[in-house]
Amino acid sequence: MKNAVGRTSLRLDPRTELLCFLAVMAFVVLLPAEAPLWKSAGLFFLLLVGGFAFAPQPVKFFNLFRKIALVLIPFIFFLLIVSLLFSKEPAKKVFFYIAQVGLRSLVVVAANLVFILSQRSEDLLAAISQAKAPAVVIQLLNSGLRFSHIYTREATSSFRAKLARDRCRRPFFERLKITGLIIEKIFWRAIERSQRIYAAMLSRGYDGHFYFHRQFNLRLMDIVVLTSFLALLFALALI
Amino acid sequence: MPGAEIIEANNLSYRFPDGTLALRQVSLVVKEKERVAIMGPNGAGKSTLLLLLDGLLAGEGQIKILGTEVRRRNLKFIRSKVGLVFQNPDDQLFMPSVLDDVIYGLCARKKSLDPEAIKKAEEILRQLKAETLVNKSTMSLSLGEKKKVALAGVLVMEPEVLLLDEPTSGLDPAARRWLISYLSGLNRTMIFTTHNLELASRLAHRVILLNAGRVVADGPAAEILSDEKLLLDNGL
Repeated sequence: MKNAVGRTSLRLDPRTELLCFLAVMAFVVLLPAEAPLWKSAGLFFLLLVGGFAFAPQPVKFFNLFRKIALVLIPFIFFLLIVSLLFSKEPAKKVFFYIAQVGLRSLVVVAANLVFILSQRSEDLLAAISQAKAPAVVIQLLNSGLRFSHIYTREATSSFRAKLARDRCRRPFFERLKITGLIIEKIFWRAIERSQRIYAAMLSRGYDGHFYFHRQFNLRLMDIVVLTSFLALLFALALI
Repeated sequence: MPGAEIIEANNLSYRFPDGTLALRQVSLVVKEKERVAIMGPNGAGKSTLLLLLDGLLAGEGQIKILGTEVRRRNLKFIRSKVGLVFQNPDDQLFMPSVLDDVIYGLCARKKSLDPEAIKKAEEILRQLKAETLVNKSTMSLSLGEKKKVALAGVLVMEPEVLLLDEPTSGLDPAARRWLISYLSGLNRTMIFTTHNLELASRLAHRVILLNAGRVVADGPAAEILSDEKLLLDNGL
């Protein structure tokens, strides 16, 4: 399939991608802590190359990966320092475990980018619904997506309004207090708005179920990709 | 021209949880195919009245829609006959894609995904000149587009009574003119709240003026809208 920029992109059934993501999560969680580092590194490299090769916008894919990965670095450093200070294990082992945590975190980030964030949220929800997930799960995901979108927009405009009124740089604690007040305001608005949204849902006959017009069909390609990916993960885990 | 009585409200009162009285002893009758504008300053109780008529709030007094009293046990019937379009479309659109949102009411009524609902939704979106939005995400629309989709989600259910809360607020003049002409072509009972005198004069047969939760005037649109003193005294 060719996209708008003429690049070949592999678009799978969202359920296939979701299963691949869950398989990666299972791999990351179940792989023993003592497992060689190359297993996680190999999977990470594979996801990164695969993501780059099939992403409709590879530059955007890499930029997003870079942004999320950069957030991880201070966290990994913090873990390293705390572990070196308080762990009774030899430093070499501490470095090994922290490298494991870092690599596995990167694997999760890459898998998220390749299998989840690359999809349209409406397709993902439709696929989860088609996979017969409980209505409450779909409701939570749907509301979460909608609210995060609306409140990101509101938070941005609130902070812009604050910046527009700031005449000079305020002391740290005052800035912290103002940020807290903005968050409080957004929280109360969220409660108020959720009541209005619920009223709107009821007025259109909401009965606890969601209906999606998009129906996906598993193709041969989906089965091939899913089987190969699962086989690869098994091979990585068992070698 | 207006015919049989569709909505009958007697002595409606509503108090917010904080104790503020939003509506006091409001009575009104709306006839079939009649288009009524509820006007008044901010906080007059216009939106609260619409929520009461759709059974989304429960106050004192009695409301009958098509002869059926608005009560908890009748809400399913009431909501199949009454469609409410909220002022802020962000409060109304709750499905991730435009088509899913528009078909929701019909699918919820049939409790399944109905192919007829999709056809009907596409037709309504085409009438609203919004057919290009059909596969878009509801989160990536402009305000005018969201308003159209919110209206489509209600119209697709073919309600006998259409309640519209500030339908033209936030729209640019061209979109406002288009919406007014579209609504005036709909041959159904309609109650809408507005501050917009142009909308009221072009669309309404009748105007009900609310202030501080009370009805201060109720009469033909031409008569009420030409009374400048009455409008000024009531914050319009």
